Order: sequence, then structure tokens, then C-alpha cells
Amino acid sequence: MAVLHKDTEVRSREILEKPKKKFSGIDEPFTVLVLLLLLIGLVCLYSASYVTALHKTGDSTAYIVKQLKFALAGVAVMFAASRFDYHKLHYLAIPMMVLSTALLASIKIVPAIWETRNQATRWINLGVSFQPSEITKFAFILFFASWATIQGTKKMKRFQYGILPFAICTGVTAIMLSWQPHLSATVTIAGIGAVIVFLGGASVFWFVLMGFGGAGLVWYYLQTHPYAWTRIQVWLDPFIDFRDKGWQGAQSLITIASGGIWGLGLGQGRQKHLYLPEPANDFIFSVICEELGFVGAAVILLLFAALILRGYYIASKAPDKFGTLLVAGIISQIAIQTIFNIGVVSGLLPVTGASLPFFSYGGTSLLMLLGEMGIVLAVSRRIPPDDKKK
Amino acid sequence: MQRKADSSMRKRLLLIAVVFGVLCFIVLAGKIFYLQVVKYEEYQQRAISQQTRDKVIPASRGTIYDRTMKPLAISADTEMVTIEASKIEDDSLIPVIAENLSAILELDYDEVLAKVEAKATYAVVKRSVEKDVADQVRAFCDAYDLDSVIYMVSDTTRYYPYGNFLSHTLGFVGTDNQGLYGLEARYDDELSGVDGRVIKAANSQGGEMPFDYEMYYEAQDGNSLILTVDEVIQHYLEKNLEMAYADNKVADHVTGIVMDVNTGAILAMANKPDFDLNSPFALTDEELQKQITALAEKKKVEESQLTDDDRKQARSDALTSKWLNSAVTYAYYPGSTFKILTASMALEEKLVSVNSTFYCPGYKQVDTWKISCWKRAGHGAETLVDAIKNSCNPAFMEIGATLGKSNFYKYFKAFGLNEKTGIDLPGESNGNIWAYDDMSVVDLAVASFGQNFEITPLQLITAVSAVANGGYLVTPHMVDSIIDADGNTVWSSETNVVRQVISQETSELMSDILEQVVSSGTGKNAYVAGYRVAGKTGTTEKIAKQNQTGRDDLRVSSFIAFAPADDPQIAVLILLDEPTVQPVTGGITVAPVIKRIMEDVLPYLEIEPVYTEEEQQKLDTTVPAMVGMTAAQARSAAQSAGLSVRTVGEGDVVTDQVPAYSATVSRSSTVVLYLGGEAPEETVVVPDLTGLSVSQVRSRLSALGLYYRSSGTEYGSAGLVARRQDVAADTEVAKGTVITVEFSDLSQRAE
Repeated sequence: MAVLHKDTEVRSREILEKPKKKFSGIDEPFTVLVLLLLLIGLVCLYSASYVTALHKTGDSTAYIVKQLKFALAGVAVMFAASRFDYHKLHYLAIPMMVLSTALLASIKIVPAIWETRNQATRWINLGVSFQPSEITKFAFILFFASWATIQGTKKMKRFQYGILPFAICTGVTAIMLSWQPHLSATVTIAGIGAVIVFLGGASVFWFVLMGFGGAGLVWYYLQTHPYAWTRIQVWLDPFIDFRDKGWQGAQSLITIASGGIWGLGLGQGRQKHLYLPEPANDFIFSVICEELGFVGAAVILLLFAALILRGYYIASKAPDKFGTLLVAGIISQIAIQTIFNIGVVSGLLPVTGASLPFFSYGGTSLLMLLGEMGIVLAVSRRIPPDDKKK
Repeated sequence: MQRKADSSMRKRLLLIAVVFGVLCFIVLAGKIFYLQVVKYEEYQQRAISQQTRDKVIPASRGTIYDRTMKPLAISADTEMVTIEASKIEDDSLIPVIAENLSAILELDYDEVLAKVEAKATYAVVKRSVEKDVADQVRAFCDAYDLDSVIYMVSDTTRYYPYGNFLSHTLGFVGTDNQGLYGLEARYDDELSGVDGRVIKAANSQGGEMPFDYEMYYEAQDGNSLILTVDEVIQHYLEKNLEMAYADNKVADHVTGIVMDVNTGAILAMANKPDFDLNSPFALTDEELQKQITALAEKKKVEESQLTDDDRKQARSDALTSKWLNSAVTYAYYPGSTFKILTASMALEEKLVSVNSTFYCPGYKQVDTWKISCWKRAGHGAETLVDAIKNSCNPAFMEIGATLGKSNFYKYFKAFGLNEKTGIDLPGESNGNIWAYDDMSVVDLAVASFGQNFEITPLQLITAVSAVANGGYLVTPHMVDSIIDADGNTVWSSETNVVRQVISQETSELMSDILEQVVSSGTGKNAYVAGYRVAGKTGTTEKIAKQNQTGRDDLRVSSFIAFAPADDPQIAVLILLDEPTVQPVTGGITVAPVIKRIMEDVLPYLEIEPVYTEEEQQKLDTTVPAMVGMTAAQARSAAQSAGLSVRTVGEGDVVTDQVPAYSATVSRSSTVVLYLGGEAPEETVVVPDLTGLSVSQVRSRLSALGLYYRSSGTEYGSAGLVARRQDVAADTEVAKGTVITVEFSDLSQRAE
């Protein structure tokens, strides 16, 4: 992994310096938005999951009860974390990165603890199953927020401080994630890292260059993998391979569109009856569109947008750079995952497994998400009162 | 001092916030809006169609009735075996199901297996399954607990109660009850109705959905057809065609049509040989062999060299030729029957009159051709009426020449002979004539007596009906009306007059002349006492086939007639394709058939006979009941019935009589009255009467103590000979039995 610079000692002291101003309370709008999304998410999850739950476990409440437990624990964690001095997270930057790398690498060392679902090996099961990639996301946030804060804007402008560590970390992680494989996590992690180093001051030139590089890679990939073209075609019109490769995409489009403006009503969705794959997980937003219509979908999109904008507002008001970058990283993670998920289900992006924050079924990831929300709140708590009013 | 985010970082943060928090969400919301609002209808359809399961409720196919509402084609209730193979949980059952179903339902194992393996939520295994077979399937389902996988649905099966009756015209249906042939095909849309459906919501595994979504569309039963065909007349026609087919040992086929000349309604239409509508795909070995021989000949190979495909071809050819409704599909040379039309044209154009005279030396020179009359010796000088009665070819070549090509062509078209008649039957052909510019003088000459161009029997009878009915060409039709399942009339036919071809005057004139053809001309054998039958004979060589086979004895003999001549009601056309019992001319082979049909049909249509005095004299009479009368009383009763009396015994009172009371015998027969005692019960052997003259028959029978009644021509001509007798020769019968004998004039050899 990346090696910290020699003058880290000096810089890290800056992060740990106690704030002199009084604390204000946690950011109320953000708290309300989080709780609102969580609540709506749980209701929707129940509606979206009961058919699958009944089909697979014989108990229609199996999924929602489990999720509810994690949600309650998650809210507790969130409020606990909001009282925590986020500066101390600086210490966790390197250990988290090491832990993340070790976990990702373990797929080649102890594959026995890994679990495969739907042809992807993304879960480690140690009694409780979780996705190591979730830890990687958080590790990236911590590491690059620390790194950018310590290096400072001027150094970050230079390639070897701004871009190189990001490129190396992302590259190595991407290779390890490709073993699972987990494209959406790769994109999210790269996105988070890119946002933080960009905010930290990395030169725009390199992003443009990387953009072209990425496009070139995609083009090369399509040239060398002819079957990839058919994936693109199926993405553009999933109905050409309705029964096979286009099934998920097509079913999602049918689900969303058949909701119309007003929807079929909460719980009244039909597509979740074993047509739509993963209605409680990757395709939960399709179920929402079918049941609540465009009106309901628009409200949820607005709530997400509000949460994201409020999050970036908190980032901009953070008492220090570390806080800014930490919050921006966390909010970007939510933003990228949300946009990615809804983009996939609505056919804007090719189908690849990506969950929707606050909505998708998955206890540990909800727990981590709410923990991260707690960190955002912890930062918001330290915004000086007069600053906050502006 | 901690460092807050600098302005550059804030700017970048703002950019990120705008992209992630605003722009991306606008794009997402836009796409969702596009799907849910703009494309809603399209996807809604897809959703409904995949979330629901259809089950078909078959509609009952309409009945086909004759015009007196006798059902000719009906749909009987049967069952349909369907399978919901997606519900099979244990795949090892798949071959078991396929094996049992194919065995019980007599289906191909692989076909059934494919249906089961497809694991679809709905597939029809077999339709039209009889109840006892369906019960076997049920038993199998019970044994393997497959009730939720295989189930029966009510279905209907086409059934033809009369078997071969009206077969070519009625046609038949396929395994899915779709009309394949004849009226069944032509009126398939009316008859088939609309299948009903049950649409039920179901999840992707075919299971029930918790929400309520079930729609039931009732099956709309098909409409029924009421034909113009009369079962009784059809029966008469078929009976007589069968007789003609056998009597004349016809090598190809016979066709008959009975048509209402005024409306174009087809009262009967038949061809022999025919087939059983209940098993239209059955072929006898003989029928198949005939096609195989023909195919081998055509390919110029030995039969053993024919491939499997050839044999399949032969089989399909055999079926197709068996199904052909020759009455509307078979184009042939009409021959002398066409003279009716040639004469009508010339009379209508006033180019000839009844009194025009012609001279027939036995041939006519046309261009470089010397075209003979059927009577090589020639007819000498004759009037138009004689020329028709004699069926004289040179006279008609002259009439044709007088008419000229353009008139001939004009009327040919006007009689509808260059186009289909428009009858409501599939597969009608439209004949074959020279293009106007290609028609030479020789062509015109032979066309005048019906040679070298082809029309269908239906075209001919339609054109001749126009001559009979006052000149109006009407469209022939099979269906009188269409009624719905509740019996309400939804459509009824109207007489469609295409055009007037000839005047009323010409029509009456022709009827009069054609009546003479039957009463005293070449059509004599078609004469029916009490009825004025008009008609014309025709005999033609099958030139094309003769050239092909090198034979010279292949003929089509025919007769077209209508009656009553003074008020034409029906027209009858009978055609024998390749009769082989000599002589084969229409006046001998077909005229008696026409006579028999007219004899049956005219009284059935309640057309009252009007006898001439001469006919009255010769009418058969009914033997009165005389037992118990005194001898004198009995004598006068017998006399008033036109019978002579011979007495046996000495008593005063009649104790027995021969023939028995109510027997129909020829007038001037002698009744034996027993005065005391009963008639002895003696038997005699019936002699072979064929070939004998009227007086010979009479004396032979009375010598044996048998009685006779005549059927058929018994007028004037010395050439009459017995052709049929109703009790076969060598049969032992009681004395006094009445033998019905049919006479024909065998001198009528006009072609």
C-alpha cells in the first residue's frame, strides 16, 4: 500500500488539534432525511421482500424482521458515532486500508470463508456475512481524506502526491475486486477516491487524461471481447434477448413502466411475484416505481437529492479540511451508489449488481451506512454555530 | 489553527454537489418519467401479457343444414387434453407421461415428449378426444397423481351424419376444427365462431397471484349455414349418379348438378366416386395404386423404382383428386350441349329464325379442314329446329359462321363463360378459351358445336339456366342463409342477376325447341310423361388425354335439361367422364339418368304433371280392391281402371285377385279374378328382358303370369329396347308380381 510521507507527524497534529469554538448540535435536516429515507426504505423493503421471503423461507416477514434489527442497531450506532470525535478516525486510516487489503486478498488464501451468490463471490461469512468491499469503501474514504489533508493543496496538485497514490490504490483494489467480481464496488471505490483527491487539489488535467484513458480501455476491451458488444446491445434493448441475458433488464423496465403515474399501490406490485429478480435487493427501486408510481419515485429521488446536497453542505461547512473530505467522501459514496443503482434499474446503465442505500436488503451494509451517517453527524456537530446559520 | 476548506476546495465541492446532487438526479428522474408516463401503455401490455395465463374455451362450430333444416354437418361435444407441464416437479415422470399419453391418444411419442419437455404453462396435447378415451387419460392422471398437470377441457368435434353425402361440396375440417375443404373452408369464418378465454393472473412459475385478476370471455359459438341444397333432391341425384357410374362402368368420374334456374340456388351437386367426410384422409389400396401407377407412367419408371417421396406424392395426389369438386373445378369440352348457347346467340341476333334452313351433306369444309357431322351420311335439308333436334354439326358450323367471331365472343362473355361463376365454393376454375385474336375460322366452326374449348359443368348449367329463365344470368350459390347460435338470421342470400344475356322471346323460343329435342329428338330418352322436359345431349372426345395415351375411345357424355319447358324451374346437368359401356353417347347413357332424376324431383317440388291424351292412355294404373265384389262389379271396377279381366272358377263372388290390390301395372294388363278358391301360390323365374322390344317384354312376362309396368320412353319409336328391370333376371318370384322395365331408344347416337 501507499507509504506516508515523512512529515506526516507534523500534519497529523493539525488534524488532532482541539477545536476552540463551541459545538453546535447535530445537523437536524440531515438527521431527518436519513431517518425518513430509512423509514421509507424499510416499508418498501417489506413490500418488496415478502414474496421472495415467502418463496424461499416460508415466512413472508423473514427479511424485514432481520433488516429491522440491523436498522435499530444502526440508528443506535449512528447516534453514538455522532458524539464521537471524528478526528480520531485519522488513526484508523492505515489500519483500515491494511484490513481491507487483507480481507480482499483472503479470497485467494482462504476461499472457504467466502460465499458465492448469483455467480459472484462477494461475501465473507463468519457467522455474520458481510461484503469486504463495504469496508474497502470506508477505508478509501478515511485514507484519502487523511492523505489529502496531510499533503495539502499544493502538493496534491503534483502527480506523485495527487494522482499516483490514488491510481495505485485503485488499481490494486480493482484487481482484487475483479476476483469476486464486483464491478459496481470498483466503480464506487474509484469514484470515492477520485472525488476526494479532486477536492484535495489534484490537477483537473489528470482527471481529463484518466477519462480518455478509461474510454480507451473500454474501447480496447470491446475490440478484443466480441461478446461484449452483445452485452451492450442487450443493455440498449434488453428485449432482444428477453428470455436470457436481457431478462433482468427487461423485467426491470416492465416493472418500472407498468407503475404509471400513480402506481399500483403499496404492496400491490405484481412483478415481484417471481418475475423481477432480486426485488428486495438490486431491483427494489423498480418495485417502488411499480407500486408508488412516478409520484412516489420522484419523492424518493428528491429525498436522496436533498440528503446528498445537505451532506455536501455539511462538508463545505466542516470545521476543518479533514471533516470536509470525510463527509464529502461518505456523501459521494451514497450518491454514486444511488445513481448507479437507479441508473441500472432504469436501463441507463448496463445491468450489474448494485444496491440502493437505505432500501436494499442487507444488514451489515445498512449498519455500516448508518455508522457513516453518524460520522457525518459528528462532523456537523462541530460546525461553529455562527457558521451554520449562514 | 485548524484549516478549513479553502475556496478552491469549496468550488470543487460545489461542482461535485451539482453533478451528483442535481444533474444526475435530473437525468434519472427524466428516464423514470419517460418509462412510467411516456412508455406506460407499451410496457403495461407486456406486463399484463406475462403476468396472466390464458386458457382457451373452444367455440362450438356452427351446423350446416340443408334447406329443410336437416343437419348435414354437426359438432359433437368431446374433450381436449391439455397439459401444464411447468407443474411437473419430478422430471423422471416426463417420459412416463409422454409414453402413456401417446399410447392412449394414439399420438406420436416424440411429438408428445416435445410438448411435455417444453415445460410450458399450457399446451394442447390432443383435441376432439371422445369421452371414453378422455376417461382413460383421467385414470392415468389419478394413478400418477397428475391431476394438476394434465386436465381436460370441453371441446367439439365435427361429425357428418350422412357420411359420403354431399361430400365434395360440404368439405371437411382439420384436427383443430379449421375448415379445410369445400363449404367448411369457404365459410370457415362464419362457422368457427370465436374461442373464449379465461385470463388469470399468475406468477412466473404459473402459480396463483394473491391479487384478484381474472377475466372470462365467453366462447362465441359459430354461425350455422342453411344451404340451398335439398337433402331429398341431393339424395335422388346421388342415387342416380351412383347407378349411372356403375351402369356405364365409368372410368373417371360422374358429376351432376341440380340448380334453380331462376335464383341460381344449387339444389343438389355431386360427383362420384366420393369419400366419407368422417374419414377424409382414408385411402383404399386401389385408389392409392391408381395414383402410383399414374406417377410411374408419368416418370417413365417401374413402380418399384419410385422413392418414398414419390409414394407420399402419390398419396397426396390421390387424396387431392378424390376431394376435387369436379362440378366446379373440372373444365371440359361441353360438346353439343353448347349448341343451346350457339342457337340462342344466333336467334337473339336475329341472324337465324326457327324457319331458317340448312343443308347437311355429312361434313362441312372450313378453310382447309373437312369437318364431319356425327352422322356421316348427312342430315340433308333441315330447319333450325331439326338441326338442334338432330344435333347436326355442319348446320351449327354455318350458324357459327353467320354469327361471326365478334358476336360469338360477345355472347360467350355475356354468358359468363370466360370468368368464374362466383359460386360460394373454393377452387372454382374458369374454363379455357382462345384469346380473341388467336381464334381462327376453324376454331369458330368447332366452337359452334362445343369443341376445343373448356368450361366447367357449373358454368354450363349457369349459362343454360339463363337461356331457360328468360335470359338472366344469375350467380349460382350454395348458402341460402346464415343463422347465429340463437337461430336469428344474420344473413340471407338474394338472387344476384349479373346481366340479361338474351331476350324473353329468345328464351321462350329456345325452351320450345329444346322441349322438342326431348319429345321427339336426340333427347328422347329423357322424356318424362306429364312433364315438359327441355334438354340437349352432348358427347365429346377427350382429345388431350387421347393424344397422350394413344387411345381413341375416351368420351365425356353429358346431358343438360330443364323443366317444365313452359315455366322452367330447375336445370339438371349430368356428365359421365369416360363411360366404357357402348354406345357412350349422351342421348343413351345420360338421358335416362336425367329422366329418372326429373321423375323424382319434379313431383317432390310439387310441380303438377299435365298429361296429354296419348299419355293418359299409356299411364300406369292402380289395381282396385275387388275381393268380395260380385263378378260383374269387379269387372266394371277393373275396366274403369283400364284393366282387362280373366276369371277363374265358377262362383259369383270374387275370392282372390292377382295382382293384389294397389299394385301399379301397365294399362291394358289383364287381372285374374278367382271366383271361389284362392290364387295358387306358384313361383316363376324372372327372365332377362334387356334388349327386348316393348311388345316382346309384354308377351314374355304375361306368358309367365307376371305383370309389367314401364318406366321411361314408350312412345312412337320402334327402336325402344328394355335396358333395366327392377327385379333381376333369374330371381324366383310369385306369379302376378309386377316387374318394372325401363326402355331406351338406342338409336339416339347423336354426339
